Amino acid sequence: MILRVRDLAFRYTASGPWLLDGIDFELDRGDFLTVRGDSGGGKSTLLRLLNRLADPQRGTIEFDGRPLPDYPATMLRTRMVLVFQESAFLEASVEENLLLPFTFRSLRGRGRPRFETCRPLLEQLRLAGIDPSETATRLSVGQRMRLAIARALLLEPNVLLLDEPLAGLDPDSRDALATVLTGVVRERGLAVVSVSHLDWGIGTSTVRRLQGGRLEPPG
Amino acid sequence: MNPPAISLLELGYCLALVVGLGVVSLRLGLRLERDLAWASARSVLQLLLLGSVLHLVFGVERGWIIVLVLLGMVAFAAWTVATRLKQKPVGIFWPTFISMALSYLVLTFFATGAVLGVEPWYSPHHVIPLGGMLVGNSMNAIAVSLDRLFAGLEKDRRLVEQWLSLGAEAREASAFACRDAVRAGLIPTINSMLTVGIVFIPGMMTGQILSGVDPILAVRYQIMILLLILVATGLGSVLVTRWVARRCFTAHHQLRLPA
Repeated sequence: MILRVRDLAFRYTASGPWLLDGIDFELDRGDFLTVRGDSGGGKSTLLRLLNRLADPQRGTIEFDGRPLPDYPATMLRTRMVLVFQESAFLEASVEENLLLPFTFRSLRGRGRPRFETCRPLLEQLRLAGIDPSETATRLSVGQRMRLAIARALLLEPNVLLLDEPLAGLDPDSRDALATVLTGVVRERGLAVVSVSHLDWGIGTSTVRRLQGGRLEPPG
Repeated sequence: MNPPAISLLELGYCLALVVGLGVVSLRLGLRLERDLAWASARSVLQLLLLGSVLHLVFGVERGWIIVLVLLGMVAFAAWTVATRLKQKPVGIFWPTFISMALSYLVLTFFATGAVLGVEPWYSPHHVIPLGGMLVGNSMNAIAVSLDRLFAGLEKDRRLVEQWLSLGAEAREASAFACRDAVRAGLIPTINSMLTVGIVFIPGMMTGQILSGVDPILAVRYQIMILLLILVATGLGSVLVTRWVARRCFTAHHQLRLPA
């Protein structure tokens, strides 16, 4: 089991209401979980907890058989990588933004890949014709999301966390992204947790609804 | 040339001018009268007190007492910075105090030892005024830097957290905010250096010239002070900004600012 979540609970203040209260789920390699729910219902918070950008008040998250605090946070985040709803790119080239993580100390040992070696991945994500010197912030919403996913996949994670990957996309682009993601996930044996307020799932994903801080049974 | 003495009565003439400004404020409805009175009263009292304290301190012949006096000045400055900032997600007094103390002590004793070559090394006549100039002038810069740091982390929290989520350490994720903060703190000092001697004559030099010092020598002292203020401001801002920025994150590289 790559990811095991038990009785997870979170609230912003010590006396405030629980945003998440008793979340349980398990994911194996190749599993795709889509969490649906209303805005402000705690979906993004769930991803933040999985990525250890925040810690829960109760419950445990195990990654690859060990609780999250057993891993150095910087290393954990590159193995269970989070793609935000709106990726904040630098006012810099596509290449610079794509390879940014390799300038961080925690990843320097891996060596910075050359842009050309990223081409097959970019092609798979339908970014084949992209100009590496183009300013990333000028790309379309869909291109930016796919570039952010490419950046995440370059880290070769075991788990991909997607926050509203479809937001701002028209129906055609949504279907295209779904097809692309299904292929990439299957090929790499990734486990994926995707959250969305839209009534939408990817491929053979399990869909669960987040309601009142709890995940409803699949169905 | 001996400087002309100023009696307390003669200082009173200057205060009378301030009263005149108060009347103007009253007539124009500027509502500055209370501030003018309070600021004038406080500055006169503080400086008179300083004169008496300096009179005492200049008689001291023990180095550690002089260092203690300097540390007291730094502590007051750090406290001022800490109380002046409205938005303070983390404690800033100790990082500010220690960063300021470190950079000012080193620079003050560098100036008295290596530049002026005074004996003894703690000569209060030199150490206290120099230290005071450094503390006073760079205090504002440090307050500006910290204010900008918190605003920057708040504004760019999305970028900061995304960098963290891609494996960046706290130091890397906050590098942008730190850079902007240090720049914001230093720019007023740099700007004032660009206009010094053309647009304005610095206060210290004016005081020296008025009290009879050769302008050439007064200028050299002023240059030394300006350069030291620049370095003290830069060093202090860099140290305090990086330290406080790290405090805005947990040990596990999580941004601490409230969402």
